[in-house]
Amino acid sequence: MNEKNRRKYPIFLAAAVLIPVTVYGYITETVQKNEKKLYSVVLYQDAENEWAMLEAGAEQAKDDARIMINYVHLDANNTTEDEILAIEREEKLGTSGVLVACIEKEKMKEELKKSNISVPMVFIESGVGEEYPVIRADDYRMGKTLGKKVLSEMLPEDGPIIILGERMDRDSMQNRYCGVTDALKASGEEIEIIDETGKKTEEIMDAVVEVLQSNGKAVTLDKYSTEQTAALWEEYQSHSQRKKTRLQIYGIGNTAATVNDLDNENLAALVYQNEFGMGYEGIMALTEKREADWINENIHISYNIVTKENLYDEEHARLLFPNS
Amino acid sequence: MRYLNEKWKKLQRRVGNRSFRFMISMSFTFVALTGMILITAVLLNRYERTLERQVLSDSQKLIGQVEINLNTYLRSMMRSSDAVYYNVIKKVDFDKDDISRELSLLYEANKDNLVSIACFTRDGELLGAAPVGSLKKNVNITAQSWFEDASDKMENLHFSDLHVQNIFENKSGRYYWVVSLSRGVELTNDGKMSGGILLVDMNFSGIQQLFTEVNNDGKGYVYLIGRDGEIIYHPRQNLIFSNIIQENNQTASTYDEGVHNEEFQGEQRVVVVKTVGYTGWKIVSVVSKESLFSDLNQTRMMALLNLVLAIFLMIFVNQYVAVRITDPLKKLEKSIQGIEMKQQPVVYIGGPPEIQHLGLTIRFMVEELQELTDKMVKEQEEKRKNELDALQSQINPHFLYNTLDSIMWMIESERYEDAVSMVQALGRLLRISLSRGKNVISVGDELQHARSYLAIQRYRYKNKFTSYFEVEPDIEQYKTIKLVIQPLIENAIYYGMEYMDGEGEIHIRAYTREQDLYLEVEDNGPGMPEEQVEHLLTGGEKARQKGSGIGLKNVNQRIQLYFGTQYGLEIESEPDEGTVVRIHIPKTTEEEAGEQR
Repeated sequence: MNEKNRRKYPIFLAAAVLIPVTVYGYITETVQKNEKKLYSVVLYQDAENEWAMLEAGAEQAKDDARIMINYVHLDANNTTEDEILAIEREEKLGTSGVLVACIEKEKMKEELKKSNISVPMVFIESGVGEEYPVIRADDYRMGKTLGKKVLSEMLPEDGPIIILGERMDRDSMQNRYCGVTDALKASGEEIEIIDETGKKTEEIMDAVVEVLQSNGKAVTLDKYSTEQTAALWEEYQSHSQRKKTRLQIYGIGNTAATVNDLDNENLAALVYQNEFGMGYEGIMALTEKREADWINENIHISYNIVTKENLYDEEHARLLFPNS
Repeated sequence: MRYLNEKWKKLQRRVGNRSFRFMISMSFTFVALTGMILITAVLLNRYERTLERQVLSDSQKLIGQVEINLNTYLRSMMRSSDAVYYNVIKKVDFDKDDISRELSLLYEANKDNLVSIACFTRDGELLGAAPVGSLKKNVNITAQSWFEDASDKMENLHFSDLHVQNIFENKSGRYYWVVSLSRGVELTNDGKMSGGILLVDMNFSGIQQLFTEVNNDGKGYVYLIGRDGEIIYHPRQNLIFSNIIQENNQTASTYDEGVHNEEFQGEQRVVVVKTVGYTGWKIVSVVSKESLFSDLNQTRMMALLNLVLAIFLMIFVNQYVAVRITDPLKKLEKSIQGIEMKQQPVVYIGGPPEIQHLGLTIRFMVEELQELTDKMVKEQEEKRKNELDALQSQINPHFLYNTLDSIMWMIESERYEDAVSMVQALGRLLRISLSRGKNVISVGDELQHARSYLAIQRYRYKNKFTSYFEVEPDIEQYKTIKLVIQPLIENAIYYGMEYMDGEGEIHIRAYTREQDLYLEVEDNGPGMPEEQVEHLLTGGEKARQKGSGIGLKNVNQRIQLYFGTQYGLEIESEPDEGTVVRIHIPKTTEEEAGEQR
């Protein structure tokens, strides 16, 4: 064997062992790496356990996609600047994507332009413009469904309809409002609509009570307003010992409290969106790096209207009562 | 087909032209590779089958265990119901007694698994409940499915489908998914017996936990469906109810107990079904064949990597072995190339014993060949030298000078006829000596040459001797090398006739014996002793010194060079007995002789 071959064979042998070992190690490391990505969920929180079902959906996505999720719950006093800071903090922590329920749409748009946030974001319920994808139900139709329900139970002697909702800068709220008002206007009847949207619920409770006392109806556009209005009215009735005759509050937004209010006949009807689906699809869209066009085309969040009579029907019970 | 044939032949030609080392290396590699691939494929296949069987077996065991656990759970609920009925309801008179305390005690003992216990009259009136609570105002108890089932068959225990408990007032906002266990009971009211319904609401979380634990391990998942195929528990039920995914639960509800293969949404799955006796529910285990083999893919990857590694190693080892085997052969081949190029390299001796033997043999053959070649060259050289010597001796200037001198003397003595005869004899002598450069002439010419020489010598030696020719008929046609008889005659004259005074005789005989031809020159001279005879052909010290001195040796060598060592001169002589020198050559015709230059 010549000198050249003598040098060649040890190299060949080393390559024969090293190459497969390296490839295997790389594959194993890649697989392991893929399992450990972090994603974040940043949520405003106006009502208690406001996003319980959404988080349940996110947890399902966490198991399916084998990722980690960090939840950031803002409270009612937090501002959009606080929300941006929270997102930036998550980015520094190494998050691969953020699911955001934004507090205020226009402010969020401004803040995002000023910030250097580069991590992918998906918004839920309310969007912040064409640039960022948003996952939501059809808020306009939700409002319209609610409006039609109100109309269907109206009597000629009924009083005005007061519409409540604090965060009107969210486009979800705007769309719901439009849906409700369009439905009411489309009836062709003269209906007195008292628009108290954009105001804090606590500040307009007197107006609400007054409307309800005059056999009017209250339409609430979000979970917080629905909870507050139902609680207020129940308390009022229990103190005044007013006999409950007809249900007068129609709301959007399912929380444990609003479902209980519906069960206890404090609400006439509740329109709710499939927040479990929102949470699940939102996280999966982030992990699969879906673009806005794809999301708009392929993700459809359903909504339903439920009353006391059909609350325990399986189609509603499964979505309204957590089974865990 | 023809195309394939051509391609095959082309491949064969290509392969056939490759080196020995390549052939060995490729053959070893091909055989080993084929074997390894086959074995790997067979083993993987067996592993797949075994894995599939194992997973199925595990699924069946798992589902069996789940069924046992579920039945145990349900039995414990039934025992709770029995305890309430036999230990509480049957022992009280509802007219006088209140069962709330007893119910509370039993409830507290089982509150982890129970949501509520309640007892109703046949009219739906609540007799007692734990935890204490009031019924919802607008709920019709008698219209509830659990109530109706228990009323229809009073003797049986009835398990309802999964539902949210909704008969009691709920201000806490906390709702429970329950399975209601209802039964008809006998109530005693003021001594009178009447029918009632006992309701035990089991917290579904207990059942759910059984499945959650199971679904955390292993591959696939297990879910629970009711009699009508509706999902009671599914690890991804919220996704199903949100219509994000689907499950084949309705089809599964039609399966009998056992193992089934199904395809659902393009996925091949193995489904194991077990029925829960008490409730008619079905436990369904689903294992995707793809996930079944996900580990197998890793194993396949590992096997492939191992195969690649083995191939590398194999190529390496085969190369090494091929080199070890063929390296000595290559060195040997190089030696032979060198020999072909006439470089005279040292033949390589090394490697395995067989190659060493081959090398030694080749070296021996090369040396032999070299020796033979050297010998042949030497013989050729000697032949040339001998021929030259022979020629030189024949064209000896002294002989020529003396002959011409004799001719001149004859002319001066006016012996013109003698002079003419001598000139003619000389001419013939020279002509035959030269023979146009030929080395092989006819026996006739050789004898003529001898006659011419004798004619000249007779004149010179003044008839001191007489010569006699005894020639066999037809012998003159055969061939001999030239200038073989004359040196013998010369020796006979110089050593035999010199001291004779007219009495000298030289006999020249030519005869054949079978395939041999003999040319003899015999003289009646003084002869020589034996030891002198022995040295005549070797040219030793005792060789004769007169004349050219190399004639006999020259003749003998030339004969042997041309015809072989079995031919040559034979000398017989004894002192005072004369000498016979015999030329022994083969009987050779014109064609057989060939021309050797």
